[in-house]
Amino acid sequence: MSESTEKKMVRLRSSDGEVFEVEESVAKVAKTLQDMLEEDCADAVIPITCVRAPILTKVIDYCKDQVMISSSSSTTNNPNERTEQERKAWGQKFMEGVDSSTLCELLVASNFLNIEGLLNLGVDKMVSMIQGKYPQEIRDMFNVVNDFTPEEEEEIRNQNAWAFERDPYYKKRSSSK
Amino acid sequence: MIQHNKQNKDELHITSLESLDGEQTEEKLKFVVPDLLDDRIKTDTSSSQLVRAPSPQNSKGHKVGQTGGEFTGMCGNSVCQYEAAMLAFVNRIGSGQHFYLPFVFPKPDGTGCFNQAFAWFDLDRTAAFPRSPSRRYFYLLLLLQESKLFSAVSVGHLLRGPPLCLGKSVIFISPVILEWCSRDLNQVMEDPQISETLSQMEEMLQRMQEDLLKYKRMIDQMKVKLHKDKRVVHQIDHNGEKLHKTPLEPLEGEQMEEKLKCMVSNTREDGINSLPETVLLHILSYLPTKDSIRTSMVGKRWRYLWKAVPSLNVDILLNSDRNCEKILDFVDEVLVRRDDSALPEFRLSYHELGRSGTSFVCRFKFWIKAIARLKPKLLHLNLYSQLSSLLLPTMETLEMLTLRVRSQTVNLQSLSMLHHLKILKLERVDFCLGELSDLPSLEEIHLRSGRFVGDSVSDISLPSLRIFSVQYYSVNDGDLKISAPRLVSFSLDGRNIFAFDKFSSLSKLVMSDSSSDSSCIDRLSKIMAGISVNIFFWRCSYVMWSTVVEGLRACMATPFVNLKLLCLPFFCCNCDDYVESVAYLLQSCPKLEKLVIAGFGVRESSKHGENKCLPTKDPPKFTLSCLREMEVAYNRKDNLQQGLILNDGVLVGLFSTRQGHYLGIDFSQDNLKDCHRDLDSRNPKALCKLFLALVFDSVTWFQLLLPMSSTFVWGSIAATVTFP
Repeated sequence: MSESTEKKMVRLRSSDGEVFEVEESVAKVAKTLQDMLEEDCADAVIPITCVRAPILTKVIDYCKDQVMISSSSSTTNNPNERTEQERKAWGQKFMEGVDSSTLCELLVASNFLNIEGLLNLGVDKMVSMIQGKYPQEIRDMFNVVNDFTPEEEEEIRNQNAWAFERDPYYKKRSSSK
Repeated sequence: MIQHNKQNKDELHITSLESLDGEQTEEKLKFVVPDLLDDRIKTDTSSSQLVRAPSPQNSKGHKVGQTGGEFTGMCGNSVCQYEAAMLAFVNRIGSGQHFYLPFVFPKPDGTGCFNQAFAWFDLDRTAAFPRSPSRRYFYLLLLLQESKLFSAVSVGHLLRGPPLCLGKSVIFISPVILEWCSRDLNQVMEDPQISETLSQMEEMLQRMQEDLLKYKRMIDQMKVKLHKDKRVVHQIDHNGEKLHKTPLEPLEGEQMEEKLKCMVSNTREDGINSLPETVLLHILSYLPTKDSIRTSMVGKRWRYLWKAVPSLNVDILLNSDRNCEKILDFVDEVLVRRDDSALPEFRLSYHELGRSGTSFVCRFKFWIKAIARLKPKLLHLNLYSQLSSLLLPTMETLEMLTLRVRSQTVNLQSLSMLHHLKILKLERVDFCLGELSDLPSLEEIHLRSGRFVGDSVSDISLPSLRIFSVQYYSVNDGDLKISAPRLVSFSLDGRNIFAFDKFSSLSKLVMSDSSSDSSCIDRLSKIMAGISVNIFFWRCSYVMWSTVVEGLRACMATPFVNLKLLCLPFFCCNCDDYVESVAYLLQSCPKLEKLVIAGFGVRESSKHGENKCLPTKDPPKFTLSCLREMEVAYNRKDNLQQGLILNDGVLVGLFSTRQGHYLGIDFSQDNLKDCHRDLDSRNPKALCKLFLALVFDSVTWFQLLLPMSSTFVWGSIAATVTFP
């Protein structure tokens, strides 16, 4: 870790003005930042306008971990590399306790910064949240306002009625949860 | 089921009286055709060259009768009858009449008819042809192509002139469908009449697009007005009195735009609606289609989103789900409606419980055909149906094919048409191994429980193959030679013995056997002699084990000089021999880093006395200088715990580790209890811990020998650990 002081640092500013200083290698996990750094247009603070500080903290955590994995796997051959299972477990732990609004912000951030791994983690979580849910449940979960009139709803329902009917085992599932 | 519209004699109905079994040679069919048509049918069959000459079997029992205003035909094999009726139909379309479906179409091989196809149309018979022609056209053309009954010119009738002008509905005929026609009917397209029709259609489409733009503009204006209204209301509310009415003229363009933008951004600022469309689509593409359709009701932004999802993922449980018919129809619909926008992913899981599903088989084959046109990349099929054979069409774009069959085995044909396939996963599927040689970009093959059929092949070249895994596949010829220069990982069981050429890059080998056929094992040991791997997983019977090791010994082969990870089976019987052969193997692995000895080896005898399990000779001693990690896992619960531990112990004691980092003994929970009891409250976990503690205690050289009886286990560990 003694090298780290010599490493080039990059400063990032979140939408609410907080400035984060991270190693260049960490910032480079984000493809968007990598492109900026490679074009040398990031001497000053890089503003990340669509990401709030708490979200950026989480994103940086993720990037740091990625750097740690890749550095350890490059020096020694195999032992520290995560197996598929471990990676899955780690991802689950990372996304644990993330609520729906944070999740959305994380997705926006990872999409903007172009961090594929984080985006996939978020998408996985989102998929597990939406799967098997009914429109109203999804609205409740993500605070989406229903901007359909009842007539429009009826129309949509009629277009593909089979998809909206309750699953035969739905009640059982929800009660067992 | 006779349907005949009395009011309009110009309408033609072709319908069947009963559902037909395609396999039957004696077809019972009835056509209900307006009387004015019968003459034409006769003339067309006799004079037209478009109609394929009926095969001899078709000519028997051909009876045509006419009753009143209806035309009734019954024939032994209905093919010619269909030809005649269809031709008449096509000709009638040519004269600009409206027609109703359904059709009964002959099968391409002339053995029967597509009663299933008929049944589909039957479902929607009440709907008039012009109302949603595209879907019908699609089937029609698909079927026409399928049946090959009508040459290009006769389909040309369908395209030429009036039929495309079925009221206004013509505009719904997607150009793609026309393109499909043209693909096989190039000569038709050269016809000036048709090109004229096409250009008319294009004009129509253009006009429609213009209309659409006009509507869009109107909507925008309405939005502006709406906003204006809101503003007025706002003013009224705040001032508490009626202001003078602001005229409803729109605000200055820029100002308005800004306001609208503001409105839009306010509503989208938070939550899931802040996600860009690409991310939402990404999410939806992982959901089953059912769920992604449900999201269309979440909000206006979601309404049409699911339609843009690049995958179709349906799960059909026939009979348990009363909606299954609707789902089947839905898949039809989607596959037809998808125009040029490709459908890269198609996942289908189909289970029929009890009910016979021949209609599904036919439908499914059509789906596959339809999908082939949608540039698929991934095809994932999980079937429990009566499908017995599947002929794949050419799919140049397909990269991954998974076909899992749960019921009877499926015979897969024309695998060779998937030229760009990279990953192939088959379960319970029979296919001809030779077809693989036409797939140069194949990278992974996973096969399970099936057979290689067809002619025996001697040489197959798979230039890009990296992973090859075969389990429970029976192969009929043993002289097969596979050349796979890039093969990295190879799993096989004893039933399939391939001779691999050029093994240079193979780094991982997994071997298991399900037979103890000695000739197989012989060949296997020959394979082993010719390779050098980094990782070797071996699970096998004792017979195989000893034969292969003997074979290796005999020819002084060195397959393991580069081996880093070795996973070996563990046998309780013939302990001396086993220990000796393990020792031989280990001595030939100078670079071994990790050793796993697992109890998955097949037991030769279930019960044996303790003595049989114990080595009688002193184990050979040698050093594995690179070994860092070792696992002795024994997950079998039986009453031989004592012997087991001792055996494990002997194995551990076989060698010493330099640079030791980790040494673990993994006892499963069950064994743990038993061990506990056997060892008189000496916890084997503590035993493990001791191992670990010793190893981590910067020990550079370490030897462990466990004596014969368990009572000595504890003390002897301490005694035999020596420090340099």
